[in-house]
Amino acid sequence: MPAMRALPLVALTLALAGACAPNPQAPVKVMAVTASASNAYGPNLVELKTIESITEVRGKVATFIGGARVVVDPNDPLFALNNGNPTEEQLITILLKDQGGPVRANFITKKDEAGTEVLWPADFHTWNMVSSYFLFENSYLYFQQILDGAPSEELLAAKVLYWASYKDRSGGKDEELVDNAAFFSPIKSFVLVPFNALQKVPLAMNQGVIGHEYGHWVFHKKVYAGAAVPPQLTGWVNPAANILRALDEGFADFHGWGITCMAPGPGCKPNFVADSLSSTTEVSARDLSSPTQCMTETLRNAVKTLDNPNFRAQSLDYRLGTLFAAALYQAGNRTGKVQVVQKALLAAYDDSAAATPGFRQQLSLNLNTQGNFTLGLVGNVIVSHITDMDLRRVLCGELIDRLQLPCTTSTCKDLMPACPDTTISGTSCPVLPPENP
Amino acid sequence: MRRWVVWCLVGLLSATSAFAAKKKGRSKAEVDDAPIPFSDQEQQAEEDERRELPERSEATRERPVETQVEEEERLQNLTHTDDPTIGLSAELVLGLMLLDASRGGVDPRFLWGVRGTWEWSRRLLTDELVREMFFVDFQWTITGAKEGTTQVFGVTTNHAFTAAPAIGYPLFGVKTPFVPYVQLGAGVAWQNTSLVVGTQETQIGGTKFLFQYGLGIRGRPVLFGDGQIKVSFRVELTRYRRGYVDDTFLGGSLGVTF
Repeated sequence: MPAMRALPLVALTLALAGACAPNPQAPVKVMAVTASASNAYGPNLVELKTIESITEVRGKVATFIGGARVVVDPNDPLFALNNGNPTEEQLITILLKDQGGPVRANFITKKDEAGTEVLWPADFHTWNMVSSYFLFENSYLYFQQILDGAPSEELLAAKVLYWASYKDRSGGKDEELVDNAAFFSPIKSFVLVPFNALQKVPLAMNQGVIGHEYGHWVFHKKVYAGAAVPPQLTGWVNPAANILRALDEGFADFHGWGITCMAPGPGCKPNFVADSLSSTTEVSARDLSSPTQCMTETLRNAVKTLDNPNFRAQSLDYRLGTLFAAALYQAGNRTGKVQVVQKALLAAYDDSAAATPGFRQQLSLNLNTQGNFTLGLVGNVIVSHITDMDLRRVLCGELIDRLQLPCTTSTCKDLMPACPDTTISGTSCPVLPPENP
Repeated sequence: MRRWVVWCLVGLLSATSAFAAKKKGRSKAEVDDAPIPFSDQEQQAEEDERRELPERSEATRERPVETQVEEEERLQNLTHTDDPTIGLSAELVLGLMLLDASRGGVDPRFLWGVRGTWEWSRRLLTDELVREMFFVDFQWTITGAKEGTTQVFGVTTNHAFTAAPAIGYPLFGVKTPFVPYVQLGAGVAWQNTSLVVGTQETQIGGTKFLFQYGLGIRGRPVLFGDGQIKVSFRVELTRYRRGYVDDTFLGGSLGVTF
């Protein structure tokens, strides 16, 4: 009977169909854990616009890699390569002990009410990775928007080492990094490590956190010109090195907040770390919207006197960085020109115009004169890229106030020549006594 | 007249054998009751007996060709008397399942399940070697994992239902109870995940095609003296193609064979 003879072929076809990974073309409808309008996290339908392989969580914006292993060991004999000056490719080989491989996201396909196929993650890590890719995608779209037509291709193709093993032996101990998400420029990759103590919303599912890390990626590309180890980070000492590190953190926080405003969900979250961190002290210290984000004598002294490893070990790069971020936040919100601030900040990253050199240009100019890289210079670089004079005036006032800049004039033109004559200092912060000469 | 013809025919039918017997010779009873003849009567009696002997004796009876049924019955295999088990086993499966982890690498998880085995060749085939070689497993196993943070976590359970024929070869002889084997099978994997975010729980379940292949050693040593019940155990390495991912099972099973 023909039907009976066809039965094994039908069975084989069904078996092969079931064995093939889903590979829908973008935009792909998939469920992800995101925050709703009321900031309640839960499974929601999203569309991944740039995904190329949903099972490998690979797309134009990012590629997720599983099973990677990073070991930072100052005593690694491979550092002797190239006469002790390994190339960037060699550096990646030295640090990335296991490059890992494609992830294999696990899905169950269901049809929605309209009959369209929707992919449902079938295990926790698939939920985590898919949700995170959505957040990376939103982060790219934010920067693409504020680049305002300027090329953004260099921001694509980020590598994300998911659930990677990251061991740091630089402190003499074999420490496994947990409870963190980071951009590690020497291997030019994001690292999402396992959580241990953090038991709230996973960092990979936190839009502000992913946006913050994507902000580091953009700073790395535009300010450091994509260098794995910028010479300023190895050659500069305090205070220039401390200021530079703080800039990176502060701007990343500001952009992370900006991405929460633009991404689908509850809207702007200046305190985005609160969803994932339990420490109220840490959460409070990173809140951009807090009007009491001000320089303290302790911090001012630490910027000048603490060497960079110790400065960072005490998270003071975040403390100082938050002051920059708070100044930008307050200026943008008070004037209703947040997007102008965002665009100006991004423009300030790399500007070859002689009249308004950007941060990349200033780092290059002052490679051997790090003493010129001061808080005032940093403020001036940002301010000089704001064409709206009213906004510029407000921002100058915020920077003077929150950083407690030692201006000799009320307009602070001595430290920030780009500030308008109408500049006056803000009044949110207590005035610190002059520093000891 | 007609009745006489019928009775005559009946008489002829019953008389056919009597006629044939009479042609072969007189019966023993007739010989014992016969009067003792005088000498001339004896010669005459002998002549009479020679005349009553058949003209030709029947040919010597040759042994007929053995029929297939007779041959089969003659060659009846009695190995089942050495191993009286009927070839049905029930086992508890335990071991380590290396799940193909979505995050990359493998995710080692404890697996357990139950398995029924039918050694069909033991019942359907008679060759002493071949009957030891074939069996088929029907198996259900379960493994699971809980991953995530306290606020956001997923609990995943994987059920596998498979049917897998196997072929073994009694490398150590048909009398030893240990047989290495290879196996190929198929089935269905049913995966159920519960995603918990805060107080909200979402259940997702679905099936995937399962393809199984592996190898191992199966043993059936005697449990009780007469061999009616045997211990059944197995050590195995089995791979499962679950949709588009590969899981590896290292473990074994323990049970009884009837």
